[in-house]
Amino acid sequence: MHAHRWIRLASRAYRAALAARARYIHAGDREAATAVFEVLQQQSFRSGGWPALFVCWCREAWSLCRAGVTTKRALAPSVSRPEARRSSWAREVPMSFLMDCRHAWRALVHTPVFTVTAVLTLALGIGANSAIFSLVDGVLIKALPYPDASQLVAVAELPPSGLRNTVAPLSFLAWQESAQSFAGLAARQATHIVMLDGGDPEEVRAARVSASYFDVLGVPPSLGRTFTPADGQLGAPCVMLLSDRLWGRRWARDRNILGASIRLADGACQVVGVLPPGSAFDRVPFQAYTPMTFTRANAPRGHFLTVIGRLRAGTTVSQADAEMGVLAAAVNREDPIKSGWSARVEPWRDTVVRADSRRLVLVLFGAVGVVLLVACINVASLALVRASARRRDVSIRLALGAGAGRLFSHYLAESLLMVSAGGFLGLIVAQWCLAAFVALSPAGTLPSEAVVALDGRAVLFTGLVIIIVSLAAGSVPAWQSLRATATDALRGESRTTTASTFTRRTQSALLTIQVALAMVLVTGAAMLGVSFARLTGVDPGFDPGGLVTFRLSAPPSSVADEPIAMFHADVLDELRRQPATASAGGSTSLPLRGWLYGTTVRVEGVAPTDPARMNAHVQHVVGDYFSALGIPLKQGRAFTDTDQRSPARVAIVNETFVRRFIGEGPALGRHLHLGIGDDGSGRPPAAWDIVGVIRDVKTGGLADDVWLTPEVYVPLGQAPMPTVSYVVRARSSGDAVTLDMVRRAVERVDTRVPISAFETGDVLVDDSVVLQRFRTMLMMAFAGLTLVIAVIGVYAIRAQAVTARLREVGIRLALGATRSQVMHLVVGQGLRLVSAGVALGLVASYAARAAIRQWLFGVDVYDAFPLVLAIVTLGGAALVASWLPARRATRVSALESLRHE
Amino acid sequence: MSPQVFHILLALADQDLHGYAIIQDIAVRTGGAMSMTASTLYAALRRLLDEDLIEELAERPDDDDPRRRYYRITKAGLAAGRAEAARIHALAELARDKRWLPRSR
Repeated sequence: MHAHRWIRLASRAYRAALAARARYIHAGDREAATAVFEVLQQQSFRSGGWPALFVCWCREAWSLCRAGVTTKRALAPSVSRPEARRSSWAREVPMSFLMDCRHAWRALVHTPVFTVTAVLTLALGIGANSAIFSLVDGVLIKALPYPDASQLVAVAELPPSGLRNTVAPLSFLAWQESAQSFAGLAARQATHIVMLDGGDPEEVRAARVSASYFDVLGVPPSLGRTFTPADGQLGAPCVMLLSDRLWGRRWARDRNILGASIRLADGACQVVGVLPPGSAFDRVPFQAYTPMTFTRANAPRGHFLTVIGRLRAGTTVSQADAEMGVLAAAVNREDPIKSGWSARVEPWRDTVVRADSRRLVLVLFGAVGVVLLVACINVASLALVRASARRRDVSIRLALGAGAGRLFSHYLAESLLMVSAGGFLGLIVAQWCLAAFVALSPAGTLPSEAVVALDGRAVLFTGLVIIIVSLAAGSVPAWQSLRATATDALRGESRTTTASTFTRRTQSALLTIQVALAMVLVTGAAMLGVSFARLTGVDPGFDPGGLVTFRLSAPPSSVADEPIAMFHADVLDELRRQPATASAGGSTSLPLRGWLYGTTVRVEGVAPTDPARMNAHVQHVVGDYFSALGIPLKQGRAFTDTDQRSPARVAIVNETFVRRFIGEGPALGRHLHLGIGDDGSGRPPAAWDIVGVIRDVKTGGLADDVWLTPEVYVPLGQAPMPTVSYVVRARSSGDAVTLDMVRRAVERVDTRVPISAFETGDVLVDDSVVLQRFRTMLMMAFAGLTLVIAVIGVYAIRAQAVTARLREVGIRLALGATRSQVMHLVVGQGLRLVSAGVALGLVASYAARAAIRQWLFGVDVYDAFPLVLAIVTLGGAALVASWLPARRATRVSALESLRHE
Repeated sequence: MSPQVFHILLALADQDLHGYAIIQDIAVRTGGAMSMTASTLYAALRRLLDEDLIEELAERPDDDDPRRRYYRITKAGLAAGRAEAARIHALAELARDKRWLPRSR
């Protein structure tokens, strides 16, 4: 958030606060005063930046609180009004609280180490909470950024398996005609287009949408128009809508784009509108939209549409779901393949916010809650230490007749000042945290449509946290003081050798809880850390070193199979000709990138063991794909360039394929029947001969070991596909294959083809664990933060406990105890408390571990190693923190400690 | 009379000003030693209005921020200001007698 937004926000808060001081600043002056405050803020920010603005806020808040005090004195004694002298309860209490605030301010300024420690601790705790609250609010609470977003639903097809499926065009058309529950239904299909105008050729993610799409979402364009039904007619001229982001990036927001025809790789298209800036359309991956042009007559087969509906007013999701169930069953009855298929209606938010994002923000919210709790306990125990140092002062007040309320108000004022300062700093911390989170989070971590920002709601949440934390942190020392009666306290200070039992017990309890809470987070972080280390140690099945990969799509002029294969063969020749290239090849999908095209499988002469699961992942490969990736051949041979051109169909499979579909017998020479390679002649496709078996490669990701993928590789020349991911291995570590080199090679074949997703093999592996790394880093950061806060707390409490026992230590030393005996005694006490905390934390963390169970790889919740790691880290740090004050205690001489008073 | 109120009356002594201009005038005249906040200013202005020491002006310049309010010192305000100045002067004379301040030329 920029300064001007903060200034506006502060002015609004100020105006509201003026209402509470109506007695001194009249309603009629509020606007004027706010205007002056606004100018003062702007002036402060201009002259001294954020610090000056912060000082301006503090001064204004202070004088607003004191508005009554100053004016009462302002005109005295020359002019005074009798009613101003009237006192009332409603006036006395705030006034005395203000006085307490003043005392507290002075006391805090006099103990800068305590104040700075407490304020920074709170700032970190509150800041992390406000930031994560913004995430929770944006992802789970706030409505999506569309008008009446609660009326938006996702409609999916439901096969008998019960897993939601994308929608077939024919089903969508039938639903659009007959469904009564919706004010509108719209469909979207993800695609890529290659833009030639406005810069270098670039592959842009785009969506084909039904004409109703923008009406259903309820978002008008900022420029031009959206699609009309006429745009969706077959043979209508190509029209396009651009996102504001793409318009700004490629055309510098030139308004002449409206109506202009832009060149695409597959023809020209007229831009009819631009979508509004800052809207959800700037955050979703699609940057351009074209209308769908299919009718019942020419609708393609397959399921690939995402369907969004807007409910008719008064219709509920369950009513729509019931109607669609009946309607879809009726539509599918005509189609023999889809009998038994139904449809499901769900709120759009449930589709946008995936379960994984939901879990992530909730776990993070839990984690920062623990951080704040530890920070709060830490401040309370620090305040307790301070309070015991001021017992004499308090007992005198009590003896002089100060009431419980006054004492409570005194401590509350102190904690309110500290926590408010921490909260203000926390908002700045929150802004950094949130910016860092958004910048560092891998794509897809958060739903792209959600609005995540530190806004008024987050500030309100922070205010609430400040009030709760102030009450919690202030009431502990207040409670402790109230328990000490006047005489008790006076006597205690001068005679007894140790702190009061109550103080000691409270401090011990706080220490134990702090260690226990920290233990929960440290255990979680240790488990994720160990899990991540084990994950990255997994062999991906190929050699990522010295490898580069990129994606190319054959230009649309080569639509026929033959030219597509020729294009890729030419590119491969050019790549092989580069001096740095050792080997080069390509495939329709890369390892670790997941399943792209599936196919049904039948092996001649082998009865299927599990007929329902005769599916394999199919890849169309070209060139020396296996040797470039470093995948070893187990049996038979790799593809040759002759295979690419020959009509004799050959295939290579992986070891999992052999295990799953062939079993014990020989694999080579067997005939495969696949669901691909249909030549459209109506005859059954020819069989593929297995000529080789390669080692397994991780397809779905490094964690993919439970269910290895059966793979079939076929030559691209025998079953051409336009888009191929290339892999090029460098000749030696000194020869790098660069983007420039690749671009030169590709341009020699065709200048219109953009190179997408150029990256090294190491990045390919890294990208597959980016989400795991991000989660682990976050948990480690929070655990580290908690560890530091808890250790500070342990140190402060133990230091205080040791100081309180200095007399006792002195007496023991004087009576002949050795220093190691004293050390034993003092450290032993700390050790018992820390151990209790660690044990308690281990028990508590068992429940918390369930929350991250799904994120663990190669680690189960009973795994001893991460637990031991956590115990050693936290226990060790806490022990050092309690040993340091003990060492100081044994170094004082007996005489000195007896004199300590 | 508090220093703030005295300074407000001084600021309005020879010109009609709006709130922010009063704050600026005081800051300039005191070399930044006294900088008022909006709350202090408006609470003080309200008291001064209630005591008829200043008055609010009905007319204002064209194309001005409509939220602004302009103030003018009244006769009573002038008298109060002068009385306060005399009191301060008398105090200063007393301090001079004790050599807390240098002799006036």
